[in-house]
Amino acid sequence: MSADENRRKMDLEALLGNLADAVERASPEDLLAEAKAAGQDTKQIASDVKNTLLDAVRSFEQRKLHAARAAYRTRSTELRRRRIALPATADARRRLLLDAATNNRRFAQVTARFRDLNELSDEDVKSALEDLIELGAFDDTAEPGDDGNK
Amino acid sequence: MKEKARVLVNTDLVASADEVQQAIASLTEAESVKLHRLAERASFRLRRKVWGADPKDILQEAMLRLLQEKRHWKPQKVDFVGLLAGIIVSIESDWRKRGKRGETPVLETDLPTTNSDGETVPTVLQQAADPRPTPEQQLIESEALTQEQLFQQIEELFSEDPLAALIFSEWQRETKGPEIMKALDLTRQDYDTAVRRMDRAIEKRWPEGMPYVR
Repeated sequence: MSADENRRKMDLEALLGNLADAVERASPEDLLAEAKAAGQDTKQIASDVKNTLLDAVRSFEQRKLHAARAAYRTRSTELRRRRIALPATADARRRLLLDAATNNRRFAQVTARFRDLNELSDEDVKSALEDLIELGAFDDTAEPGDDGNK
Repeated sequence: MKEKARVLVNTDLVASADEVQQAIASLTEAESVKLHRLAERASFRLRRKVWGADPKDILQEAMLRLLQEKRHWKPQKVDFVGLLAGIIVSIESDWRKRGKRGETPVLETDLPTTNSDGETVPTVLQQAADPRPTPEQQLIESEALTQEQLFQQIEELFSEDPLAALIFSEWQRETKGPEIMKALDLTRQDYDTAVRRMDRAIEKRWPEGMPYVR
């Protein structure tokens, strides 16, 4: 074939490509026979490959499911917020919180962390009501804004 | 011999996760070994460019690229093993390019995920050993050979395998496989078997991965 000065034309990428092609073209049966001849535990290899591939599918499905759940949670919280508007005035909001704490055991549990609801700042009242809405505390009751938001 | 992994008859371009699971379950021992060998060889060639990319990462990445529809499955044209083989080749090429640019590919398995309570679960990367090169690996990188030196060492490696030595010598002259087969009166099977023998010899000589060249 060619003279010595023609040598070393190939670069490393081409060498890697030539090596890869021979494996890609090989029949699975030839590669199985070679692996067995090399003393490899082909049954174990096959089982590991299947498990790796199946794990990837499961993990993909799980991630999709979790993403869908997270999106659902965000959507429902937003919807609840939109549906249940807080009373417009600070007085009405405080009254709502006090009424709820007095008449509803679920609310009382949540608001028990505040020693005296009357001493809460307007901002804290608003924040407490928003927490309660987010927890779904108003879901089975009349809308909190009924008495002051219209 | 067992029946080959079933080629799905669904004419849709994109296979569902169920169909993919079915195809995995139908893989024969030989087909699984082929996928392993493809991923293992890609990992070997990448190892010094992309530290920490093992055959398992490559197989998982291939599956995720398929499921995320980055690769469409045309079952009428390509069987499942052929499809994954093509994806593995593409991953290798992609990661090698990134490795050359000094980037670390972010594997899908490295992306944060959450459990059913919405809590962040540690990624495979976080649970695994640090993928950055160790001082020993950095030393290996710093001792990169020139391409000339590497090819000389490969020639020495085949000094007792005349066919491998001839093939390698012709490759260096950029002689293509079909021409080599014709000149040496080899069948495709003879040629490929010799090349795979060369491949194994190279892996045995450099177990840390294909050496860098300057």
